[in-house]
Amino acid sequence: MNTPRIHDGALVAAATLIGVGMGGFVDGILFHQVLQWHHMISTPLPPTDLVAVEVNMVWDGFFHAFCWLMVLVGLGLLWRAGLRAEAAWSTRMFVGSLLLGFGLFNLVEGVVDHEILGIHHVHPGSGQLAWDLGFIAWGVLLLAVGAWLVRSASSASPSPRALPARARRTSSGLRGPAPHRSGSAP
Amino acid sequence: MTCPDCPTSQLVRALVYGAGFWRTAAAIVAPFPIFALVVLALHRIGRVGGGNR
Repeated sequence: MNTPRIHDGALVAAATLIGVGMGGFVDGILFHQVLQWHHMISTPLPPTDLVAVEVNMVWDGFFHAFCWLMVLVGLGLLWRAGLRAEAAWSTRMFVGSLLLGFGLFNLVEGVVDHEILGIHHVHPGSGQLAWDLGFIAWGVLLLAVGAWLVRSASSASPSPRALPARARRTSSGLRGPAPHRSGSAP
Repeated sequence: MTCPDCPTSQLVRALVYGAGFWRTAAAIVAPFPIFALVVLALHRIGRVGGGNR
């Protein structure tokens, strides 16, 4: 009896990309807009007057546009994964991958933007490094939890998920036992 | 003169799109290729080379 091969990466990649974008939105909405702790270029151009605030707002907008693109492409990949019978379809793997993406955003953006390029910091002023390191540590924690969820979902008995009805009618069919849904209920 | 084209807006546009625009833009987008590379690598997990149809 053939064991169907499951392409975990289709779901993991899609959800991770969505998580990256969502992580960017959390940063942008919480730190840039609600708390206004920093903006994209608030180190070289501190937002101390209207012009500086508006210049930073434009660059914040470009940053949010890229985050939006991440989510858009991620949704496209997720849709494509949903149409493929060999793609894994697990709630635990999906949620774990979202956390992977969120953590990846914090880690990469925290290291590149805050420490290497220094274009802004999480909470400028006293304790600046502690806030930056905390931001990165939070990302590492999310990465660890997400990776654990993905691995635990992947190591569970893989089974092909039920095909969408249209695919069942038109596909050449899966060999072996009848497919059934994998993963836990939401 | 309305806000979208008031002196402040004109100054903001000049500062954003003037000298240093590409350098700042490169700094803003710097993390995103890294995200793309990681996601591309993740997509290869469990990938079946000859398909599974």
